[in-house]
Amino acid sequence: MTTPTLIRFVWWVIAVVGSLFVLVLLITLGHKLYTQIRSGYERRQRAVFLPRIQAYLTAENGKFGKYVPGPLGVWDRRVILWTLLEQIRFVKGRTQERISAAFEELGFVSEERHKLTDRRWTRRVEGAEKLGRMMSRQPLTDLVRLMQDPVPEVRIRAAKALGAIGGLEAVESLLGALRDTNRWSALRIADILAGLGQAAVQPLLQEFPRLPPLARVPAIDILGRLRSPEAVPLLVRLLADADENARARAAHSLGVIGDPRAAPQLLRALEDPAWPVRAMAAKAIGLLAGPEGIAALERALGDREWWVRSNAAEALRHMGAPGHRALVRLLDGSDAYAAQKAASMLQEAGVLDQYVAQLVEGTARERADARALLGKLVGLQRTDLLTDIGRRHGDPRVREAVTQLLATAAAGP
Amino acid sequence: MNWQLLVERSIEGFNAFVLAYFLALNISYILLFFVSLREVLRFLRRTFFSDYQQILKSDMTLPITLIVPAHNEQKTIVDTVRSLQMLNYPEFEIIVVNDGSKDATLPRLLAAYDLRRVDRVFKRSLATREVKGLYASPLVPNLTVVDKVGGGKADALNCGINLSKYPLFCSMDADSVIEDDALLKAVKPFMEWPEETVAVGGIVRCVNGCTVTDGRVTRIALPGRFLPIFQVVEYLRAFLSGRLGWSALRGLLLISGAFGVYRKSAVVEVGGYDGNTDTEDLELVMALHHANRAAGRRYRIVFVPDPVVWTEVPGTWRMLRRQRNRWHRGMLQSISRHRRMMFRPGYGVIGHLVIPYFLVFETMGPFVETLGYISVPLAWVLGLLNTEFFILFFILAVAFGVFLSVAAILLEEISYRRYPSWADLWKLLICGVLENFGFRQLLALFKIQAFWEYLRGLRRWGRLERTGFKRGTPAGVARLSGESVRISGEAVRPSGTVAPRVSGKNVA
Repeated sequence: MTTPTLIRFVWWVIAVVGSLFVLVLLITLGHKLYTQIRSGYERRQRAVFLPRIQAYLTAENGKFGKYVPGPLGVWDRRVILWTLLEQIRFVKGRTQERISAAFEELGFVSEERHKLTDRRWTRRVEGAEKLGRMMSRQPLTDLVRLMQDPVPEVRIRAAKALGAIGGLEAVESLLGALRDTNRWSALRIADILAGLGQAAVQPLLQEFPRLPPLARVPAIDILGRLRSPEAVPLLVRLLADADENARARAAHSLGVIGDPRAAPQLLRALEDPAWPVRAMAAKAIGLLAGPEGIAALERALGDREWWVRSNAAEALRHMGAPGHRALVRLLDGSDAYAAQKAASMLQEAGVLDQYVAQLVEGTARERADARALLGKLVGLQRTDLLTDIGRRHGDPRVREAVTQLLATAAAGP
Repeated sequence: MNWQLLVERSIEGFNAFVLAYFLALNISYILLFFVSLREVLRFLRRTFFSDYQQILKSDMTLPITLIVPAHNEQKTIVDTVRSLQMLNYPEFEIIVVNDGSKDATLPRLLAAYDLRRVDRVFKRSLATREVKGLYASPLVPNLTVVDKVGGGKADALNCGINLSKYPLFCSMDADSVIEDDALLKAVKPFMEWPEETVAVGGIVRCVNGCTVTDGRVTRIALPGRFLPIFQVVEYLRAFLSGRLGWSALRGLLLISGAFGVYRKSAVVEVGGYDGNTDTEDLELVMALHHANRAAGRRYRIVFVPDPVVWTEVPGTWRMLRRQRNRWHRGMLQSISRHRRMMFRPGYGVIGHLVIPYFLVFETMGPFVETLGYISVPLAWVLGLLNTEFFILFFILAVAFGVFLSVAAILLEEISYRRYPSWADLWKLLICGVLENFGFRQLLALFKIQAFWEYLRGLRRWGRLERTGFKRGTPAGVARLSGESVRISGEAVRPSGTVAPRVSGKNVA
């Protein structure tokens, strides 16, 4: 390449880069200017409109136009839209209905419904989201139709809107949406359904047999979160399902519901070949089973899977005094892991503190029990907390007793 | 051909190479900017109505373990933990790993949270230095403090991973400030693509000049001095115009150590953080790419431009040199370790584009740039270069640099607008121009020095002192008017590695 050609080429590149630079600079400054002007205007107008909006909301009747007369410019409409959307989040009943009526009167509902058929999916999302917040029942059929949209995000927003508006049509559409093949969508729809409360239980129980595998686990989870006793028979049956995820989630949901009728089946689930099921069953037993679950949990502490052992230990810890006694018994067991885990749980449950206090305050029998238990901990080499207590406990008698105990153990047999 | 002719031809040849290289590098930057611009606009549209509240309320949201490695962080650690407790997230635990601190890091934590020593059984999935004690608090059930023998940040993070009970963990720095919703935003890719997402990174911003109150950034402003502002512009370029673009191309190589959320099982599978490199965060991400590509798995390593963590950048040239030196050495180490991914079938965009790009432009770049600064004027002095061309080339170099900086500022302006005032915008624009006269050239020299040290096998760390960020008036506390707190500790980079502590020693 000759020098003149090269120079022309460099000139050309400079022209391109320079133009890009000027363009980017102008966009940056222009954008800044526009946003500042607009936000300043909106701030001022909001201060003007807010008292009028409040007056409309507190009035028994009367149209919105009476309180905020038109014509309204584009920016003013935007201020009113966002102010009302903000207000509707915090109100219920009559006030909410009046805000929805204002949205309809001002044509916002029609505008957003129009967006639902836009070719850009982001516009459809925006429309569905705003309509859900407006709580108007006018667009219900449009939103149900939107549940067939090819874009998952649009379907989700439509589901969310339906969930917010509520009603039987919404529940049915949401149940249909649980069939969505996208797991994230299914999870979010499950959350929306759970938010609908008891109204969702019966339709969900009826729909459950027809749900695809991907939707079954979120559906089981919803039934647990709704804490409906009506779901217990189905969940108990699911403990014998072929899908281990369904079995594990059913065990979890039964624990959340806390119906003791499920205890025998959960105890059997502790023998399930899949460890997630055993782990969830152990957790659930801790939540609902009475003393009959303790022996099973003690056995589960010897499970070959870490999560099952951990959940069993946590369950015993949360079962109060009977569970704590079981943990104390485990300190003597031949299973080193179970003994160590039991020691941890006793410490974290604060049981150790009781025994430490008994070293100086209890009866002779209690003192002996305390020494025996603390001796077992020392035998398991779980001396960190005891050493700490020996140094820092507020009662000097306790410090002395614990220090003696540790010294005796250190001296050995 | 006499020697003079040979020299002249060599200089001419090299100059042609410099021009071609320079054009290729800057065109790649511009392309990356357009990819990032598209991605920012797409992200903004997608999150116009964020459903983060749903993530916050959902029982299905994956719980996260926050791992906070702390080495001599006595001045900030209690505030850091306090601010972490207030994060908007449904279920998380905090594990502070006191990594051989010589100051009062541990005693301050013990006192602040009434921590008590506990014996806890945990699985040692990753080998670490000895754990001296575990502490839990009845006041804050989701807080665990680990006291361990010092082993560096990688070792501390591995220890935290061993102790974590949740499927995701977030690595962070003890002196960084995470925004309240950062976890909610970072977890979204894990919820959207649960089987594929292995790591998510967020944006790191400079806290210099901002006011921090109760562990939160309460007033955002640019620092008063040029050097930190240059770095603000540089961070905007690196994160908004660089990583976002690479992430869109599925070629993100670096997730900042100051804030990254990882799938624990994936990290354990690659052996956790590697303490034998200078930049364990880069090494981990490369190892994740390597392992997943080798196994032929579908996976995602994602950069999300919104979860924000604030961190202090070096305030002096000396500190900056040390920091950049180490980053560049770390990059060279990791590129060298994973060079086998290059141009091999199955390694996709990482093997065929990203690693070659880093090798050609990031590794060779400083040499070509610096030699260009010598050879082009030399050629002009020797009369080998037309004066007009020489001036035009200089203008072109500046124009590219300025364009890329302003483009990054545009991305910031149309997206997050964290610097709202006109004064800040002008400062950024002016520094976007000025950084091309000295700052960028010095960074190139630092990288050359790093390359030399890498060749010699040196691993010089050196302590980096902080100048401290402004503290606001904490709620309910007497006003500390204009108090500027000097925070000892380690410098953090956009990629977030803490520069550890072996002051002035070569640990080859």
